[in-house]
This record gives sequence, structure tokens and C-alpha cells, in this order.
Amino acid sequence: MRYHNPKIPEGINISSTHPLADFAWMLTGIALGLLALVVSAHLLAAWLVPQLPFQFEQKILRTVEPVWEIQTKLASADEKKADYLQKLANRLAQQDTLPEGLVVKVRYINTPKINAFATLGGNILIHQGLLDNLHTENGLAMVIAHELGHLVHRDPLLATGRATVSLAAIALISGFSETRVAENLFSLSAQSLLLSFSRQQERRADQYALNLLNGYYGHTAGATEFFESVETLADNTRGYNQLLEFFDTHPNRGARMDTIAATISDPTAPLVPLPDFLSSTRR
Amino acid sequence: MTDIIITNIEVVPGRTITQHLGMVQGNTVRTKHAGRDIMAGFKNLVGGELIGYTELLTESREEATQRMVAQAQAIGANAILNVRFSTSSITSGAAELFVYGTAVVLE
Amino acid sequence: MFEVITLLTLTVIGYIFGSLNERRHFRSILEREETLRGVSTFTTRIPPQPYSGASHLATGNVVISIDYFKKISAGLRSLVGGRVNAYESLVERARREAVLRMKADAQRQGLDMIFNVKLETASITKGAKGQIGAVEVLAYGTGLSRTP
Repeated sequence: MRYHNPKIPEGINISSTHPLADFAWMLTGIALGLLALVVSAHLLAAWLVPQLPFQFEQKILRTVEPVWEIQTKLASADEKKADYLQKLANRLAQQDTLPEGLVVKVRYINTPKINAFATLGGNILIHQGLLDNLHTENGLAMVIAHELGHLVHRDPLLATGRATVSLAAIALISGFSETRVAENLFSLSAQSLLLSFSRQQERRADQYALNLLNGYYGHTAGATEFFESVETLADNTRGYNQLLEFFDTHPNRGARMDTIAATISDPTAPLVPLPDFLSSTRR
Repeated sequence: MTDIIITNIEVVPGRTITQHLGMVQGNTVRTKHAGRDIMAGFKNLVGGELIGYTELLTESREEATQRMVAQAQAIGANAILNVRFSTSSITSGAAELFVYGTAVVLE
Repeated sequence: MFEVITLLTLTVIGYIFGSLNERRHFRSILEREETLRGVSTFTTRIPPQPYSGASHLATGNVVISIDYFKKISAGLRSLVGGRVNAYESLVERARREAVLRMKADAQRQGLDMIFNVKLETASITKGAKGQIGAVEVLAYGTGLSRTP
């Protein structure tokens, strides 16, 4: 018997696909899959959210609310501000019939942050920093009415819903993947998804706010006050730092300001000044 | 290494077995040290052979084999047949190298 | 953003050096396979009869590390499923290297045929996150001589 090893041709056990081509295909596939996932999550949220009653939002929030009550516990001077803000919000809300079950609760927070935002359960949070940068009731009313618009359009729930579905999908994907790579990649996209309103939502809330203002004052003059003071503040560093959070939650402010300014029909109409007790310096 | 013949087939070709003495085995558990791990961490970036690990495993297997041979010699064998190696990782850092076979006496 | 840049840099470095390493390794494997052509391997257990030469175990082993590109590539692959091309070439290299070392070991002992060749592949990481990713291949068999 003859014992020998003939030469075996190369390349039988190794695929001929170029590793980079392989890599590119996988990346494209995963990106498309993720995109499809996020898009369907958005569509699902958009369809589902308007059907959920407000009581549902309040139920979700019930677990968090006691903590908030403690955090936003106020000194007597601040209670006066909170009371004023709540009353202004109520008067504005009367210009429109709010959806059933929506109870607007304005919460005043004594921090220098220049921001206001609407969140789940009909809550509107207003920081002292915002009050310090406004001088007319009209300007403040515009901000509150804008947040009311978000509440009426169910934007906080929509954003939470989207973020939850997307995050769940991402968690699912990175759970299956063996490396930490996937997590790193997806945590980035998750951050930008979380709790930010889209431009369309902002425009819609602006439109809603202008209608309320028109009903309440008979004109929309002064509606751009907040934007104007933001523009001047953004030019100095201290103001910029206070505004960071506002920039995060409200992109595209220049375009919005122009749109709002264009709708003001009577720019010389008399404006209502803010009472002095609202300011932290003029106390 | 030793004058003991080791094969992983049932016979030593051309020789006659006069006695089967049963199973002999040798094992060792080894772990690498931190320095090797750092080098290996770097190699993990660019690929290629982890020479430190290869040497470690070779040495460990040699030690296990020595132990098996010592067992065989102690019972008067001069060959070990049908030898098998097995490797199992006990924790993420340590590996057990195990070798076993049948000790026999050749004529 | 910082994370993504680090990831990209590591992947690019991994690809460049990894594929250089791999190409060099394959070249060396092919060369040594030619020079060790004289040593034949068989997985059968029955030795040639009659036989009167020496016989002894021959072994060879190697640990080969993955590179970062392969790691990422396999990570992505685990999302979509299918053939992990990146690892195929890795285990191929490791197997052939181990067999070559076994052949060299046999040659050192003056043997030129290896019977009942066994290959054992072990992953050093066991899939733990952030761990060293490497594969060990051990090749062993009974070395015999053609010219007793």
C-alpha cells in the first residue's frame, strides 16, 4: 500500500467574499432594519396615543407624583408665583375646550434654568430662569399656551411611547448580540430619540398657542418675546449655559420665531407687564 | 523526554503487547499571569498568534504528559497507548489540561 | 460621539493590521506546508503492516487571537445571522498551523507519517464580554516512519 498526501487546492474552506464587502452589507442591512423598526414604532405610537384616555397618563404618573410634590415644595413667596402661573394657564385654557380628562397642573421650579416644558399627566414645568427673562404677561402666556398645545396634542405621551418602543427594540437587539459594539452604537441613537418633540410637533403647538393668545388678548403681539430674549442671552456664556437644556429640547428656534413673528397682525397693541413678584431680583 | 513510547492508536506497530496495565492519566491546571493578559489584550486589536498563550499551553500539556508518564513508569509500563488530550476551561482565567491513555508492557 | 470615533479607529486599525497579519501568516503556512510535504497525515487508526520502525506521539498547538475588525464583524453578523466569514479564516489558519507544528514535531523525532490525527479546537474566551478572544487548536497523532 502507498501512503502519501496529494496537494489539496486552496480556498475550499474559506469564503471568497471580501471581508469589507461583507462588513458593508451587514451594516446596511442592520441600519435598514433599525430604521424600519423605528419608523414602525413611530407610526404605532402616532396611531395608538390619541386613543389612550388622559386617565391612563395620570395612572402612569401616579407613582412619580408624590416625589414631585416633595421636590417642588415651595416657600410662601414661591407659592404666590405658582398660584399666579396656574391661574394664567387656567384662563388661557378656557379659550379652548380641553379634551376630556385633561387637568392642567402648572409646577413652578425655583432654579435659574431658562426652560419650560410639558410632560406626562398634564404637567407643565416652569423654571424661575424663564420668568426672569420675560417682562410681559403676553410673552409668558405664549410660553404657557405653547406647552398647553403640547398637552392637548398628547405630545409627551407620544414622545415617551416612541422612546419606549425604540429603546425596547434596541435592548432586544443588543441582548442578542455578543459584543458590546451594538450597545455602543445604539445608545447614541437612543439618546437623541428620548423625549424630544419633532419640529412638526413644535409648529403645531406654536399654532395652537397663537390661537389661544388671539382669543385671550384679541391680538398676538408680544408672542416672540421669549425667543427674542433667548437670542440676546445666547450671545453671552453664562446665559448660554443656562439655556443648554432649552436648546436640547427645542431645536430650530430661529425658524419658529420667524413664523410666529409673521402671524402677528397688530405689533403695536398694548402689552400687559408681568407683576414684580415673579422676578427673583425685583422681589 | 523518556524512553516510554506514546501513541494514540491501539498498538505500537511492529511490537507485541504482553500486558495491559489499565488507564494512566496526567493533568494540570494553569493560569496565565497579568502581563501576558495585557499583551494578549493588545493582540486582540491587531490579530495574530498569542505566543505567550501557545507556550503556556504547550508547557502545561508537557507537564500533564510527564505526570502520566510518571504514573506509567511507577506501575512498570514501557508504553502508553490510545492517548487522548482534553482541555477545559475552569474559570475564565484558568485551563485544565488533561491527558490519559492505557499503560502496557511491550515485549 | 467619542465612543463611535474610538470604535471606528479600532476597527480600521484592526482591519489593516489584522489582514496584514493574516496574509503574512497564510504565506508562511503555504511555504512550510511545501517544506513539510514529506510528512504525511492520516486520520485512520490502522498502521501499515508489517512495520518494524519507531513510533511516538507528535503534537502541535497554537493560540491565535482575533483582531478588532473580526470581532466587530462577527458582532454584526450575530445580528443578521449566517456565515461568519471573519472567523472562518481564523480557525482555518489555526488548524493548519497546529498541523504544521505537529508535522515539525514528528520530523524532529525522525518520523514522516502521522496516523490517527486528532484536532481539538477550544475557544479561550468562552464568549465573555470584554475578554480575550482567541482560539486554540491542538493537533496530535501517532508518528511512524516510512523507512524502518
